[in-house]
Amino acid sequence: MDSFEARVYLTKQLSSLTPSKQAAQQCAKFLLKHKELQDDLYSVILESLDAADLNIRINIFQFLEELILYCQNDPQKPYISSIIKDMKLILTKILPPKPDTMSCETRLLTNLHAAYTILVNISKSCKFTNLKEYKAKYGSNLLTDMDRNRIELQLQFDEKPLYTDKDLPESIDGQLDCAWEFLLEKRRQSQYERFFIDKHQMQSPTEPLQDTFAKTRKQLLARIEADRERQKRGKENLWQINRENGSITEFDLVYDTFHQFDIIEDKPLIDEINELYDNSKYGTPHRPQPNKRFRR
Amino acid sequence: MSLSPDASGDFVGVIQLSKPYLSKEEISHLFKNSLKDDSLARAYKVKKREVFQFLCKLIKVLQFPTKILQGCFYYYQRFYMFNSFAKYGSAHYDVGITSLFISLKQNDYIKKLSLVISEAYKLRGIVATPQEQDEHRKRLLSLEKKFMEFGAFDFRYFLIEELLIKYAKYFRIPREVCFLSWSMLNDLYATELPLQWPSNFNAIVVLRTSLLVWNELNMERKVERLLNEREVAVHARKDEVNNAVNEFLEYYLDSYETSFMRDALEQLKLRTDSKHIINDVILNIKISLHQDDRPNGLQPPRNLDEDLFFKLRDYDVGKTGSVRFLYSKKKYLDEVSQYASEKERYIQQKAAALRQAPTQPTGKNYRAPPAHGVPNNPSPRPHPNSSYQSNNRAAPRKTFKKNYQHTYNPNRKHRPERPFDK
Repeated sequence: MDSFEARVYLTKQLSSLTPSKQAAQQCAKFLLKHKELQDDLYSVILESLDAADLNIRINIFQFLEELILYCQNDPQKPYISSIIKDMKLILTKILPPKPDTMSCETRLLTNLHAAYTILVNISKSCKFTNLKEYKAKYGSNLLTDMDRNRIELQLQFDEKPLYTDKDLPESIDGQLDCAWEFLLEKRRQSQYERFFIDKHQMQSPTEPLQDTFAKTRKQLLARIEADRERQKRGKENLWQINRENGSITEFDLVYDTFHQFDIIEDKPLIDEINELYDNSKYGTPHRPQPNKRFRR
Repeated sequence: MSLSPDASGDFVGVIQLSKPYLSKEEISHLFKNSLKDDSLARAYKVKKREVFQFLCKLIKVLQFPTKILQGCFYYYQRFYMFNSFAKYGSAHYDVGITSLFISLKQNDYIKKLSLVISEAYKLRGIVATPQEQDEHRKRLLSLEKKFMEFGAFDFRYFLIEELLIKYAKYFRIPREVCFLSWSMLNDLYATELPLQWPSNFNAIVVLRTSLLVWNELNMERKVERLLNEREVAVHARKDEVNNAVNEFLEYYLDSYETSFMRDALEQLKLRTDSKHIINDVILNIKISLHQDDRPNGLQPPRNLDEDLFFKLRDYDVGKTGSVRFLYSKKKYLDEVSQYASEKERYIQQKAAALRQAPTQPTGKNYRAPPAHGVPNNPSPRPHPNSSYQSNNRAAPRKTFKKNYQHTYNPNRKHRPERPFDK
């Protein structure tokens, strides 16, 4: 397969990518097979990100996660450096800015949560050190006092500074830092707009969206299905335990899950256990005799 | 438990009471049934250890949490209590994987069985075609049904892990000792203790044992804690706890090398050579424990032979009749008592019919109860411990009429005047 054929094939594959794991793996295998064409093929990925609608864009991002996993098992480790370098650029495509022509009610943040989970996975596989902090930040309230004042004044969120180009650092961690900061800002925007809607009782947009961001009913249904698939996949690996440092890591996890025994709070659990045992041994709930010393 | 349909083509109904915990004598009786002789018992022990080792590895490969393993050991041991080892002994790996699968489901961890099977094949170094794997999968699913049946579809089993950590925090036990006890908890599941005692009791037993081991190993960093069971709502006598600790320590005498405790001691950077641990630590603790092996004189030993619950399971009952599972012993006893009176009536009826016309078939609408497994208790309400499983048919409730007081009227405003009140 020459480079032109490979480009055409990949463009076709990416433009009709489904959220299933098999589809992503198939694509990743293809890219790995033709790793000598990596510069050519990588540009195809970026181009198809521009051409596709929002649903396909997040599917492509999911495929990139799979690709990174595959490439890390490869001795040459192709593609990884270029993907990580452009991580912020890719994210700006997945979470695009709102065009000026659109009304203020429309929002383009549907991909936020999925992008977050995928970025977490990518950071994990790259052994990104600051992941824990960013995860904590993402879960917290990011609104500042100034944001609250702006909401009071009915001012829209200003997302322009997010999309300005900045100089990228050299190291992988620095590049990932940039990507994470962008994502956190987007999260802040989502919180801002949620607050805004609650405050000013806004309506959903009535006019249909234009061009690539238009959502037909079919696309909406496809999106619901895709999210369901993603959710299922996420659940499958949720409990995986890494035992590289021995079983003590798992113990730490277990130890932090449970709180101290509390005689009142844990009474239902204890009662149930005792009842089960008594039922199995005596047949009826069996109460221990009260202590004779305290009997009047 | 042999329940074949009667010659008259009668319908067989079985009531089975769910019993998640069994007493020690019941367990030994059950194992006597399933492991007929000593050679089988030895083979069972060897295979059990082999399978448990294999499951530990499988869990690590699949990256499951250890609590899956805990439930899995519980189900594995229960399987061979109710099923003949001579028949299922060669399928010990299948039983192990099925119990793992059930434990997975119970803890709400979704993983495809085919994936588990293919990993198991890889681990054992067996090459199998996809077709063979698919057949294996079907075999395991049919085995799973058997698990459900002898377990009476009862999933009210509580893992000890949660309570162990909660108690450890309550008694302010240091974190590293808690790690030791959590590791020892995984060993506890390989013994018979979780089959006998409820989770809160076992949590105390593990905590106690691990404290003893810790103090014996670290003379200079002793952790002195008074574990009061009553404080944490465990109703057990002192000798019961002591005996359980003793039984638990016995496990280490022959399987310390492969235990989780060894692994934990290694991670805590303590002495781990087996000679020292077994000879000095474990035996010392055993000697220091005040052992009380006196049999409990209050209860006379029950005759378990006549109870269907303690027979090997026959899964063909479901094909010709029905098996009903009950969780409450009270309901179960109600049904059994009804059956006893019905049986008497039936015998009288039969005798009367025989007197009138010996050749006539007995009873018009009445179907004969099966001959086997009839509770041998003649009184209408049997002794609570007498029987756990009996043949029975669904019968209308009779207690309703007996308890119904027709003079009682809930809307009555005045009490009826009684002559002697005035």
